[in-house]
Amino acid sequence: MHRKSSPLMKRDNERNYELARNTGHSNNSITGTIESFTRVYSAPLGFENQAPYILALVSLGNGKKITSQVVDCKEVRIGDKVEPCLRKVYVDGKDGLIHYGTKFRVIK
Amino acid sequence: MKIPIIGAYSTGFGDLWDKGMGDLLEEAGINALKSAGLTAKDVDAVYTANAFSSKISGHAPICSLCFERLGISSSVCISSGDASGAIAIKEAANLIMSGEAKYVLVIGAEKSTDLKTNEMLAVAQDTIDDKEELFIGATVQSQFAMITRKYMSDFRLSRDDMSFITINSHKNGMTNKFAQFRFELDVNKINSSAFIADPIKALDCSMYCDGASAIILCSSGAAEKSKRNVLGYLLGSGIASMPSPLSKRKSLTRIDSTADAAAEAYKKSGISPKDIGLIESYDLVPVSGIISIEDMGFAEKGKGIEFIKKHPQAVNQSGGLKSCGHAVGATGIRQAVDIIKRLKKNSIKYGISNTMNGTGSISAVNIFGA
Repeated sequence: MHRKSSPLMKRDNERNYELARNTGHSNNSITGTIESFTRVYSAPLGFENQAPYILALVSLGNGKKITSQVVDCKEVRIGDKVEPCLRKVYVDGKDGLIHYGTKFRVIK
Repeated sequence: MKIPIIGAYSTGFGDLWDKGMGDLLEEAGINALKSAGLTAKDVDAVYTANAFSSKISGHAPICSLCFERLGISSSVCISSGDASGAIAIKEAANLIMSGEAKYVLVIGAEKSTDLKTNEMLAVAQDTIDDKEELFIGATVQSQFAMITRKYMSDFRLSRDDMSFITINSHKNGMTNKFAQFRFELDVNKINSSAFIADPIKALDCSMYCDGASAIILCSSGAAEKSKRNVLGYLLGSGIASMPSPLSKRKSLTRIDSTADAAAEAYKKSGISPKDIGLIESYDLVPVSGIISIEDMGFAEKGKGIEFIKKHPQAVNQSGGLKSCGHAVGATGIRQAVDIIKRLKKNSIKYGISNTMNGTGSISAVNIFGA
């Protein structure tokens, strides 16, 4: 993962947080469905210590989709229902910034 | 369109530790010129294709090396990821058709092994979307893994079914002395290798390697006038794009850019899939090779593997990316060299090649005739 400059991070953060903003408010919460998934063993630089992790293409129902990680579970299947949550994504080196973004967890 | 190809040469692909980028360009360029009976002075322009040199060695664009090593001063570098080579061929053909040039050298090269394997893998990830996919820890292989799972689930295919294209490529590559991996694979060997991104295994993935390939295009007038030995013809080519993130696509199992690029190439050449006897598909991983065949119009969705089983020699006769190795910038031109050589040898009329950047964000299709 390349190092992000502060202006680039600021521009990106809005979209990275948008989905997870309503987490915990049951009235207007967003849910999604897993369209496909994989478990990444050969992780890119910056993600090695997280591997293996689950990546999924999540369909959000309004025609929108997103590729993101599915956390807090060992197994997923196509069709599983998920909800967004705000999580740490990676740390930008020893003295860099901590990046946050939207991941998903399975609704039981 | 009908552009004569009068010279072709490919270095062997593999871990070429004693050769640098300049050496590869020189070897491919000089030998292509030799095969055409030309000298550097005759060439009006050179189109180079390279994807990652700026990240690997820091030397970019590589076209400046063409002056140092070959003495050709008019040079351009095309950098469109995995599709670079095929696009350079199309652009060179356009230059000839415009009347600007008579002889154009097209040369693709990549020097992947100057980085450690994990560093090279990191560089190669630049071909997918950065904001959504790279940010969250996705890789080219993970995105293709999701496409693979969807493809297997939609068309009720097993993991072992998907392996057929890899096994076929390796079988064909056994007789290609330029291929990096000349050994047979079977389902058990593939299954016993480590996971890269489930369900994709290490032995499913083609390797990033070193190599350079070159062809020389020339105008029909110049070919006739100087009675050149024509090796083959470029009959049609197409380039098309689609959104890079999988989330912005209607279907996971169809790569629109390949279908659009193929339609353009078929239209320009005036021939159809049923005339074609030789296919170089983009088998970076099994599913990309299968979808590439389907979207070029050789089989219906879900029937790609059946098509390969019926025509094992027609698909990736060279060994494909899997057995030849994937010298990213060179691959599109390597496919052209292989097709031209094999059309003549096996008296086949037409051949087609496809390469795509990342998971299909850019796709290029070229059609060749004997």
